[in-house]
Amino acid sequence: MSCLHIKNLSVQFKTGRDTVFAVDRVSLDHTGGETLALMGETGCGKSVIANSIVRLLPENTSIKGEIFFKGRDLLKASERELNQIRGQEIAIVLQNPGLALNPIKKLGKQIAEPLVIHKKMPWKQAVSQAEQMMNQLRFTGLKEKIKAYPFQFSGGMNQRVIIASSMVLDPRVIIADEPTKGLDMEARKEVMRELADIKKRKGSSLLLITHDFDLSREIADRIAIMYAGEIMEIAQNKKYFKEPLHPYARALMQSLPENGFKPIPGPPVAMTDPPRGCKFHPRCPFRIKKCAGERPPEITINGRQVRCFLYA
Amino acid sequence: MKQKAPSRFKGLMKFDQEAGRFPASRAGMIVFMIFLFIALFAGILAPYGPNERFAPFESPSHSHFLGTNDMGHDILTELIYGSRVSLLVGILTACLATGLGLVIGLVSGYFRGITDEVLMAVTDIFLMIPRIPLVIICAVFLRSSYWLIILVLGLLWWTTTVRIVRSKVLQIREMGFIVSAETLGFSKFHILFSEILPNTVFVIIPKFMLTVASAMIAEASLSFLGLGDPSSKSWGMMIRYAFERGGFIRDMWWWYIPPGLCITVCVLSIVLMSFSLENSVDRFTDIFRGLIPSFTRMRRD
Amino acid sequence: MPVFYKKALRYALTLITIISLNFFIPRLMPGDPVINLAGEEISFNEDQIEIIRKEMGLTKPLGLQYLNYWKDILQLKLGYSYHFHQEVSRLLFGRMQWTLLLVGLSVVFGAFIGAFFGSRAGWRSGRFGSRLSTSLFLFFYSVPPFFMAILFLYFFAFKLGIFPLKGYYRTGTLPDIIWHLVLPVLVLTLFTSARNFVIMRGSVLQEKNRLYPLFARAKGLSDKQVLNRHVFWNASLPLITLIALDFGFIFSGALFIEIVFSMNGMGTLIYDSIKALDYPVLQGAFLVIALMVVSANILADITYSLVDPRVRHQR
Repeated sequence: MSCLHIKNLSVQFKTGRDTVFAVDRVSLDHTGGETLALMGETGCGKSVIANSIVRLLPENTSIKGEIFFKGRDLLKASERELNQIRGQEIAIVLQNPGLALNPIKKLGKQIAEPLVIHKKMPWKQAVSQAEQMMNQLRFTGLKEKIKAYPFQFSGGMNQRVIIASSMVLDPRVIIADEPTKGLDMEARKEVMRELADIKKRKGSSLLLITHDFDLSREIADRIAIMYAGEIMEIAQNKKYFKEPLHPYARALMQSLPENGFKPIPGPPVAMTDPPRGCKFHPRCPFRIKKCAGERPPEITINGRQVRCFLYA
Repeated sequence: MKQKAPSRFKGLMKFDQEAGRFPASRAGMIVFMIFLFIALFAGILAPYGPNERFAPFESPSHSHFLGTNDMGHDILTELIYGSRVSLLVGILTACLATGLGLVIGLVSGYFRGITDEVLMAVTDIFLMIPRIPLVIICAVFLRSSYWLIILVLGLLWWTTTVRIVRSKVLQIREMGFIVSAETLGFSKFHILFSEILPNTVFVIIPKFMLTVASAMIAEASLSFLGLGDPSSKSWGMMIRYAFERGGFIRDMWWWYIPPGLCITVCVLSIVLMSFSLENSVDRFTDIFRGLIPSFTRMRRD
Repeated sequence: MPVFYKKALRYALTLITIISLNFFIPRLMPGDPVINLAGEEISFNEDQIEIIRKEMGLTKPLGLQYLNYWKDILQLKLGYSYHFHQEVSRLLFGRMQWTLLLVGLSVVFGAFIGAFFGSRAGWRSGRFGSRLSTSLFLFFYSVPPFFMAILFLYFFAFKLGIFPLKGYYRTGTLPDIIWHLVLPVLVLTLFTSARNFVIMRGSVLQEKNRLYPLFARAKGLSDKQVLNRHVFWNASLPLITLIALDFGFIFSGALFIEIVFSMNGMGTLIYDSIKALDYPVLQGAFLVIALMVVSANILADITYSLVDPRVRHQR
C-alpha cells in the first residue's frame, strides 16, 4: 500500500536567462511505514523532490506531474489544504538547523507550535505536551531547554529540536532533508538514534534525503539513487550495498573512502544543459551508442529497479 | 567571470537596467535630471530676470504665471532660480558629509586598533548631537548664510556614512589582492587610496543620494526659520517670505505651495533613485568595475 | 559586563562633550562674551553690561568659569533671559511638556502605523497594494515637515475650518486640548510613520528570505501566520535602534510643526528667540534637546537588550 506516490515529476527553475532542469520525470513509490533513503550528490535534485512534496519551492519554479498522498494530488491542492497537511500529516525537517529555528523564540514554544496551529491548543498545554514528547525522545535537562533559545545550543541539539517539532503531531510521513549535514560525529549519532526511534515507534514513513551512506545503511529499508534529476536505481538496503547494479551507483560506491576514494571520471553535469539520452552516459565506462540517443526505461530486475540499457 | 570591456556608457545603461526592475526609480531619475536641467539653465528658462520688479501681490495671470511676491518679483522666476540654491546646498552638504565619512571610515576600517576605537567613539558622540539646533545656534552668532548651513551640517552628517564604509573596508582588507599588495611592500596609504578606496566608493552612492535629499529638507527648514540668505532665495526661503509677508493670510497659495511641491518632488525623485540602488549595491560594484582601470587587477576571490 | 561599561562610558562622554560644547561656543564666537551669554537685549545699556559681566563671573579665569558652569548645570541653572524676563530653565521646562506630548504621541502612533503597513508592504512586495502604500509613504517621507504642516493648516484649518488655527488650547479642558492637538499630531505622525514604514519594509524584505519563515511554513503555518507570529517580531528589532537614532530628527520636525501651528511649545520659543537674538534661551534649548536625544538613545538601548534574547544573555 503506497503512502506517497510520485508520478512523472519534473521541476524546472528559471534563473535569469537559463533554465535549470532540476528534476526530470521522476516516479517514486513510498510505502507506508517504510524508510526510503533518497541519495545522490549535491545538486542532483533530491532536496527539490522533498520540497515539491510539501510545495515549499520558490515562486519561479514550474512543476509538472503528480504527487499522490491519500488519494489526493498534492500538486493540485489549494494553499489552504496544504497548510493543513504540512506539519500535521507530512512533516519536513529542513537542513541547517541553526537557521531554521527562529532565533528570538524559545525552543519549547517552537516545538509546541504545530499543536497550537493545527489543534488550536492553548500554549501552556501545548508546551507541556511537547515536554512529554521530548522526554520520550530522551532529551535531558528539559526544564532549562524548554525555556532556552537556539543560539545557546549546538547544531546537533537544534537538529533534534527540529525533528521533535516535526513529530509532535504524529504525521504519516516525515521527510528528513540532510539531517546529519554539517554535524560532528557525536551529534550525528544522536540524530541517527532519534530517526531510528521514529521508525520503531510510530510506524510513520520516513523519506530520508541524504548523501550520508552510513546513515542510510543503518536505518533505510530501501535506497533510491539519483543522478542529474533522475532516479537511476531503487533497491532494498542489503541488496544495494552488497551489489549496486547501475554503473553510477557502482562508481559512487567506489568513490567512498573505505573503497579507495576512486573518483568518478568526467565533469559533473551542468543542470542547465543536461545530456540527451541517459544522463550518466558521458561518464559511463559501459556506455553504448543507444545511451546517447534514448533515455533508458526503468527495468525491474530481481525486485529492484534500474534505469540502464545494460539490464534490458 | 567574463571581463567586460570598460565603457562608461555601459555603466549608465546598467543602471537603467537595474532601475527598470523598479520603474518608479527610472521615473525618479528622469525627474531629477529635469530639476538639474532647470537649475543649470535657469537663465534661459526663467521668463524674467531675478531682480526685475513688477506690481506686488499679483495673482497668477498670463504675464506672471505664478503671480508676484511682496517685492514685486515674478514668482515663477524666483522658483526657477531657487532650484539652483536648493540643489547646490543639498549636493555640497552631501559631498562634504560623505567625503568626510569616506575618509574616516577608510582610516578606521583599515588601521583598526586604537585609531578605530577612538574614531568610532567620536562617531557615536557626533551621532547624538542634535544637528538643526546646533546650526541654529551657529547661525545666530555668526552671520546666517548657506555656507554656514553646508559647513555645519556637513561636519555633523558624516556619521551615517562612516559605518557603511568601515564595514566594507573590513570586508575588503582580507581579500587576496590587498594582502598581496601589502606583502609587495606598498605603503599603507597608497593601498588605502588606490586599491581600497575605489571599491568602497560604490557602497556610498545610495547613502550620498539620501544625504542630498535630507540636506535639502534640512536647508528648506532652516531657511524657513530665516537662517538662509535673503539675497538668493532657495525654495525654503520663498516659503518663509510667503509666510512672513502675508502670503498665507492673503490666501496666495501660488506663492508657497509651488516651492514646497518642488522640494517634495525633488526629494522624492532622489529617494526613488536610491531605492533600487540600495538593493543591488554589490551588483553595482561588479557593473562599474569596467569604469576604472585599476579594477581589472581585482579578481573575485 | 564589559559591554555595559563601554556603553555607559560612551553615553557619559557624549553628555560631557555636548555640555562642554555649550560652554565653549558662546565664548569662542565673535563679539563680546557677555552679550553672547546674555542675549542682544542687554546690548543697549553700557552700565548694565558691566554689572552682568561681573555677575556671570566672566572676569575670572577660564578654568574656574568652566567649573562654575558645571556647578550651575548640575543644579539645572541655565541662565536668565532678558528678553523674556525669566529664568531660562523655567521657560524651557514650562514649554517642554507640550513638545514632549506632541513628540511622544507621534512617536508611538508612528511606530505602530509604520510597522504595521511597512511589514505588509515588505511581506507582499510585488502586490499592487504594497506598491501603492510604498509610494504613499515615500511621498510623506519626502515632504518637509514644516511644509506638510502648512498644507494641513491650509486645508483643514483655513479652508475647511474644521480644526483651530493656533495654539495648544483655548479653554484648557481635555476635549479642547485634544481638538487642538489633532492636526499637529497627525502631521508629525505621518512623518514618523513614513520613516518607520521604510525601515520596517526593508527589514521584512531581509527577514523573509531567511530559513525560519520557511520552516514555519513547513510546520503548517499559513502565510499570514508566518508574518504575524514570526517575521514581524524579528523584523521589528532594528526598528527600536533606528527610532532612537532618528529621535533628534523627529524632535526637530516637531519644533517646526509647532511653529507653523503657533503652539506654545519649544518651537515657538526658539523661533522668537532667534528673532530677538536671545542667546541663553537658544543655548539652553540646545542642551535640553541634546539631553533628550541621549535619553532616548539610552532608553532604546535598554529596551533592545531586554527584547532580544541574544543580547540579554550576554550580560
